[in-house]
Amino acid sequence: MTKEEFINHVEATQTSLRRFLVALCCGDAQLADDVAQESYIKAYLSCADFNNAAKFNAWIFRIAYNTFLNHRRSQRIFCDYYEVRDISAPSGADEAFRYQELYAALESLQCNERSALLLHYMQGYTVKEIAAILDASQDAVKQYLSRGRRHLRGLLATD
Amino acid sequence: MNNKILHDDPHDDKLRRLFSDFNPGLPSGNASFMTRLLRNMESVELLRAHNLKMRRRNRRAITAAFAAGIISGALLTALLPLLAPWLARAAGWLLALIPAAAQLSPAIIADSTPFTVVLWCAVAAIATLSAWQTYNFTLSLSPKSETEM
Repeated sequence: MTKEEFINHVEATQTSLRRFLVALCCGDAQLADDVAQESYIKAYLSCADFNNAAKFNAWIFRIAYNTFLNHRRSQRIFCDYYEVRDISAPSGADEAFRYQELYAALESLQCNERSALLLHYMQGYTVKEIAAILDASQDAVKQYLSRGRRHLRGLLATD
Repeated sequence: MNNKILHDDPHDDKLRRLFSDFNPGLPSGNASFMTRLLRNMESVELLRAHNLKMRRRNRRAITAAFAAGIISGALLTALLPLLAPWLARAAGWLLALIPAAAQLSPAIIADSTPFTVVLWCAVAAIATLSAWQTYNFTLSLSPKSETEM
Protein backbone atom coordinates (compact mmCIF):
# COMPACT_ATOMS: atom_id res chain seq x y z
CA MET A 1 0.00 0.00 0.00
CA THR A 2 1.40 3.41 -0.96
CA LYS A 3 1.33 6.48 1.24
CA GLU A 4 -1.40 8.08 -0.89
CA GLU A 5 -3.58 4.96 -0.68
CA PHE A 6 -3.06 4.88 3.06
CA ILE A 7 -4.11 8.52 3.43
CA ASN A 8 -7.24 7.85 1.34
CA HIS A 9 -8.15 4.94 3.61
CA VAL A 10 -7.58 7.11 6.69
CA GLU A 11 -9.87 9.82 5.35
CA ALA A 12 -12.55 7.21 4.65
CA THR A 13 -12.35 5.55 8.08
CA GLN A 14 -11.39 8.25 10.55
CA THR A 15 -14.89 9.40 11.52
CA SER A 16 -16.24 5.93 12.27
CA LEU A 17 -13.03 4.89 14.04
CA ARG A 18 -12.97 8.02 16.20
CA ARG A 19 -16.64 7.63 17.13
CA PHE A 20 -16.04 3.99 18.02
CA LEU A 21 -13.05 4.96 20.17
CA VAL A 22 -14.97 7.72 21.95
CA ALA A 23 -17.56 5.12 22.97
CA LEU A 24 -14.85 2.60 23.85
CA CYS A 25 -13.12 5.22 26.00
CA CYS A 26 -16.47 6.02 27.63
CA GLY A 27 -16.61 9.63 26.54
CA ASP A 28 -12.92 10.54 26.93
CA ALA A 29 -12.67 12.16 23.50
CA GLN A 30 -9.07 13.36 23.94
CA LEU A 31 -7.92 9.84 24.82
CA ALA A 32 -9.95 8.48 21.91
CA ASP A 33 -8.19 10.82 19.50
CA ASP A 34 -4.77 9.96 20.95
CA VAL A 35 -5.54 6.25 20.53
CA ALA A 36 -6.75 6.91 16.99
CA GLN A 37 -3.56 8.81 16.12
CA GLU A 38 -1.38 6.06 17.59
CA SER A 39 -3.37 3.37 15.78
CA TYR A 40 -3.00 5.06 12.40
CA ILE A 41 0.73 5.54 12.96
CA LYS A 42 1.13 1.85 13.82
CA ALA A 43 -0.82 0.99 10.69
CA TYR A 44 1.33 3.36 8.64
CA LEU A 45 4.50 1.63 9.88
CA SER A 46 3.16 -1.70 8.57
CA CYS A 47 1.21 -0.52 5.53
CA ALA A 48 3.97 -1.43 3.06
CA ASP A 49 3.30 -5.12 3.81
CA PHE A 50 -0.50 -4.77 3.86
CA ASN A 51 -2.03 -5.52 0.46
CA ASN A 52 -5.65 -6.36 1.22
CA ALA A 53 -7.34 -2.97 0.79
CA ALA A 54 -10.79 -4.50 1.29
CA LYS A 55 -9.86 -5.51 4.85
CA PHE A 56 -8.41 -2.15 5.85
CA ASN A 57 -11.39 -1.31 8.06
CA ALA A 58 -11.20 -4.50 10.09
CA TRP A 59 -7.41 -4.17 10.26
CA ILE A 60 -7.43 -0.63 11.61
CA PHE A 61 -10.17 -1.45 14.10
CA ARG A 62 -8.12 -4.37 15.36
CA ILE A 63 -5.06 -2.14 15.79
CA ALA A 64 -7.18 0.49 17.54
CA TYR A 65 -8.65 -2.10 19.91
CA ASN A 66 -5.19 -3.41 20.85
CA THR A 67 -3.87 0.13 21.28
CA PHE A 68 -6.80 0.94 23.55
CA LEU A 69 -6.05 -2.16 25.64
CA ASN A 70 -2.41 -1.08 26.00
CA HIS A 71 -3.52 2.36 27.20
CA ARG A 72 -5.99 0.76 29.56
CA ARG A 73 -3.34 -1.51 31.09
CA SER A 74 -1.11 1.45 31.76
CA GLN A 75 -3.91 3.50 33.33
CA ARG A 76 -5.90 1.00 35.50
CA ILE A 77 -8.61 3.44 36.58
CA PHE A 78 -11.78 1.86 37.90
CA CYS A 79 -15.01 3.46 38.84
CA ASP A 80 -18.36 2.13 39.91
CA TYR A 81 -21.25 2.83 37.58
CA TYR A 82 -23.55 4.00 40.36
CA GLU A 83 -20.95 6.46 41.68
CA VAL A 84 -20.42 7.95 38.25
CA ARG A 85 -24.12 8.03 37.49
CA ASP A 86 -24.82 10.23 40.48
CA ILE A 87 -22.37 12.93 39.38
CA SER A 88 -24.71 15.72 38.47
CA ALA A 89 -24.39 17.41 35.16
CA PRO A 90 -25.10 21.09 34.66
CA SER A 91 -28.55 21.63 33.30
CA GLY A 92 -28.85 22.70 29.75
CA ALA A 93 -27.93 20.94 26.57
CA ASP A 94 -24.22 20.46 27.26
CA GLU A 95 -22.87 18.24 24.49
CA ALA A 96 -20.25 16.74 26.79
CA PHE A 97 -22.85 15.32 29.18
CA ARG A 98 -25.35 14.20 26.59
CA TYR A 99 -24.22 10.62 26.68
CA GLN A 100 -23.01 10.56 30.28
CA GLU A 101 -25.31 7.75 31.32
CA LEU A 102 -24.43 5.60 28.32
CA TYR A 103 -20.72 6.16 28.93
CA ALA A 104 -21.11 5.28 32.59
CA ALA A 105 -22.96 2.08 31.62
CA LEU A 106 -20.31 1.21 29.05
CA GLU A 107 -17.55 1.86 31.59
CA SER A 108 -19.00 -0.83 33.85
CA LEU A 109 -18.72 -3.48 31.12
CA GLN A 110 -15.61 -5.53 30.53
CA CYS A 111 -13.47 -4.35 27.61
CA ASN A 112 -14.28 -7.32 25.41
CA GLU A 113 -18.05 -7.02 26.03
CA ARG A 114 -17.95 -3.27 25.38
CA SER A 115 -15.90 -3.69 22.21
CA ALA A 116 -18.13 -6.47 20.88
CA LEU A 117 -21.29 -4.41 21.50
CA LEU A 118 -19.88 -1.30 19.86
CA LEU A 119 -18.50 -3.16 16.87
CA HIS A 120 -21.84 -4.92 16.36
CA TYR A 121 -24.31 -2.10 17.02
CA MET A 122 -22.28 0.94 16.03
CA GLN A 123 -20.21 -0.37 13.16
CA GLY A 124 -22.47 -3.18 11.98
CA TYR A 125 -19.81 -5.90 11.99
CA THR A 126 -20.88 -9.54 11.99
CA VAL A 127 -19.86 -12.01 14.67
CA LYS A 128 -17.21 -13.47 12.35
CA GLU A 129 -15.70 -10.04 11.65
CA ILE A 130 -15.76 -9.10 15.33
CA ALA A 131 -13.97 -12.37 16.16
CA ALA A 132 -11.19 -11.44 13.71
CA ILE A 133 -10.86 -7.94 15.17
CA LEU A 134 -10.84 -9.06 18.80
CA ASP A 135 -8.76 -12.16 18.06
CA ALA A 136 -11.34 -14.38 19.75
CA SER A 137 -13.51 -17.31 18.71
CA GLN A 138 -17.01 -16.73 17.33
CA ASP A 139 -18.54 -18.48 20.33
CA ALA A 140 -16.64 -16.15 22.65
CA VAL A 141 -17.92 -13.12 20.70
CA LYS A 142 -21.50 -14.38 20.99
CA GLN A 143 -21.00 -14.69 24.73
CA TYR A 144 -19.57 -11.17 24.93
CA LEU A 145 -22.57 -9.80 23.02
CA SER A 146 -25.05 -11.74 25.10
CA ARG A 147 -23.48 -10.75 28.44
CA GLY A 148 -22.88 -7.18 27.35
CA ARG A 149 -26.50 -6.79 26.23
CA ARG A 150 -27.73 -8.22 29.51
CA HIS A 151 -25.54 -5.90 31.60
CA LEU A 152 -26.26 -2.83 29.50
CA ARG A 153 -29.97 -3.47 29.47
CA GLY A 154 -29.97 -3.95 33.24
CA LEU A 155 -27.98 -0.81 33.93
CA LEU A 156 -29.89 1.50 31.61
CA ALA A 157 -33.29 0.10 32.62
CA THR A 158 -32.81 0.95 36.33
CA ASP A 159 -32.88 4.68 35.58
CA MET B 1 -25.28 -19.88 21.96
CA ASN B 2 -26.77 -19.64 18.49
CA ASN B 3 -27.86 -16.99 16.05
CA LYS B 4 -31.48 -17.29 17.15
CA ILE B 5 -30.55 -15.75 20.50
CA LEU B 6 -28.93 -12.81 18.78
CA HIS B 7 -31.67 -11.99 16.34
CA ASP B 8 -34.86 -12.75 18.33
CA ASP B 9 -33.84 -10.74 21.38
CA PRO B 10 -36.60 -8.13 21.86
CA HIS B 11 -34.12 -5.67 23.27
CA ASP B 12 -31.85 -5.97 20.27
CA ASP B 13 -33.81 -3.30 18.37
CA LYS B 14 -33.68 -1.01 21.39
CA LEU B 15 -29.89 -1.27 21.52
CA ARG B 16 -29.60 -0.78 17.77
CA ARG B 17 -31.66 2.41 18.03
CA LEU B 18 -29.59 3.56 21.00
CA PHE B 19 -26.33 3.21 19.09
CA SER B 20 -27.63 4.42 15.76
CA ASP B 21 -28.61 7.69 17.50
CA PHE B 22 -25.19 7.81 19.14
CA ASN B 23 -23.25 10.69 17.63
CA PRO B 24 -20.64 11.96 20.07
CA GLY B 25 -18.89 15.24 19.52
CA LEU B 26 -15.25 14.87 18.56
CA PRO B 27 -12.58 17.14 20.10
CA SER B 28 -11.40 18.28 16.69
CA GLY B 29 -12.68 18.31 13.14
CA ASN B 30 -11.57 15.78 10.54
CA ALA B 31 -9.27 18.32 8.88
CA SER B 32 -7.28 19.12 12.01
CA PHE B 33 -7.13 15.38 12.91
CA MET B 34 -5.66 14.71 9.47
CA THR B 35 -3.21 17.61 9.82
CA ARG B 36 -1.96 16.21 13.13
CA LEU B 37 -1.71 12.70 11.66
CA LEU B 38 0.21 13.91 8.59
CA ARG B 39 2.69 15.71 10.89
CA ASN B 40 3.17 12.48 12.85
CA MET B 41 3.65 10.55 9.61
CA GLU B 42 6.34 13.04 8.54
CA SER B 43 8.10 12.45 11.88
CA VAL B 44 7.95 8.71 11.18
CA GLU B 45 9.55 9.30 7.75
CA LEU B 46 12.28 11.42 9.36
CA LEU B 47 13.03 8.65 11.85
CA ARG B 48 13.06 6.02 9.10
CA ALA B 49 15.50 8.07 7.01
CA HIS B 50 17.68 8.67 10.06
CA ASN B 51 17.72 4.95 11.00
CA LEU B 52 18.62 4.00 7.43
CA LYS B 53 21.45 6.52 7.39
CA MET B 54 22.77 5.22 10.73
CA ARG B 55 22.57 1.59 9.55
CA ARG B 56 24.55 2.45 6.37
CA ARG B 57 27.11 4.40 8.42
CA ASN B 58 27.59 1.50 10.85
CA ARG B 59 27.82 -1.03 8.03
CA ARG B 60 30.59 1.05 6.37
CA ALA B 61 32.50 1.32 9.65
CA ILE B 62 32.19 -2.42 10.42
CA THR B 63 33.32 -3.38 6.90
CA ALA B 64 36.35 -1.09 7.15
CA ALA B 65 37.16 -2.43 10.65
CA PHE B 66 36.89 -6.03 9.46
CA ALA B 67 39.18 -5.34 6.48
CA ALA B 68 41.71 -3.52 8.68
CA GLY B 69 41.76 -6.38 11.20
CA ILE B 70 42.24 -9.04 8.51
CA ILE B 71 44.94 -7.07 6.67
CA SER B 72 46.92 -6.14 9.79
CA GLY B 73 46.65 -9.72 11.14
CA ALA B 74 47.77 -11.21 7.81
CA LEU B 75 50.67 -8.72 7.51
CA LEU B 76 51.92 -9.41 11.02
CA THR B 77 51.62 -13.18 10.49
CA ALA B 78 53.63 -12.91 7.26
CA LEU B 79 56.31 -10.76 8.96
CA LEU B 80 56.48 -12.93 12.09
CA PRO B 81 59.37 -15.18 10.89
CA LEU B 82 61.41 -12.00 10.21
CA LEU B 83 60.43 -10.25 13.44
CA ALA B 84 60.68 -13.24 15.80
CA PRO B 85 64.51 -13.25 16.15
CA TRP B 86 64.55 -9.51 16.91
CA LEU B 87 61.78 -9.86 19.44
CA ALA B 88 63.52 -12.84 21.03
CA ARG B 89 66.70 -10.74 21.38
CA ALA B 90 64.69 -7.94 23.01
CA ALA B 91 63.04 -10.46 25.34
CA GLY B 92 66.50 -11.79 26.21
CA TRP B 93 67.65 -8.27 27.23
CA LEU B 94 64.59 -7.88 29.42
CA LEU B 95 64.93 -11.34 30.99
CA ALA B 96 68.63 -10.64 31.72
CA LEU B 97 67.38 -8.32 34.46
CA ILE B 98 65.94 -11.39 36.25
CA PRO B 99 68.87 -13.38 37.73
CA ALA B 100 67.05 -16.73 37.40
CA ALA B 101 66.47 -16.22 33.67
CA ALA B 102 69.77 -14.49 32.85
CA GLN B 103 71.32 -17.55 31.14
CA LEU B 104 68.47 -17.95 28.60
CA SER B 105 69.77 -17.26 25.09
CA PRO B 106 67.65 -15.56 22.38
CA ALA B 107 67.56 -18.84 20.44
CA ILE B 108 66.14 -20.74 23.41
CA ILE B 109 63.62 -17.98 24.02
CA ALA B 110 62.52 -17.96 20.36
CA ASP B 111 61.88 -21.73 20.45
CA SER B 112 59.94 -21.68 23.72
CA THR B 113 56.16 -22.17 23.82
CA PRO B 114 55.41 -19.22 26.14
CA PHE B 115 57.26 -16.88 23.78
CA THR B 116 55.28 -18.22 20.80
CA VAL B 117 52.00 -17.78 22.71
CA VAL B 118 52.93 -14.21 23.67
CA LEU B 119 53.80 -13.45 20.02
CA TRP B 120 50.47 -14.71 18.72
CA CYS B 121 48.58 -12.84 21.45
CA ALA B 122 50.43 -9.69 20.44
CA VAL B 123 49.46 -10.25 16.78
CA ALA B 124 45.81 -10.70 17.81
CA ALA B 125 45.89 -7.63 20.06
CA ILE B 126 47.43 -5.42 17.35
CA ALA B 127 44.93 -6.66 14.74
CA THR B 128 42.03 -6.00 17.14
CA LEU B 129 43.35 -2.57 18.03
CA SER B 130 43.76 -1.60 14.37
CA ALA B 131 40.20 -2.81 13.65
CA TRP B 132 38.84 -0.80 16.58
CA GLN B 133 40.74 2.35 15.57
CA THR B 134 39.60 1.96 11.96
CA TYR B 135 35.97 1.62 13.13
CA ASN B 136 36.15 4.83 15.17
CA PHE B 137 38.00 6.67 12.39
CA THR B 138 35.44 5.61 9.74
CA LEU B 139 32.55 6.73 11.97
CA SER B 140 34.19 10.12 12.50
CA LEU B 141 34.50 10.57 8.73
CA SER B 142 30.70 10.24 8.21
CA PRO B 143 28.90 13.55 7.54
CA LYS B 144 27.73 15.23 10.72
CA SER B 145 23.96 15.21 11.34
CA GLU B 146 21.98 18.45 11.68
CA THR B 147 21.81 18.08 15.44
CA GLU B 148 25.54 17.73 16.13
CA MET B 149 27.38 20.82 17.38
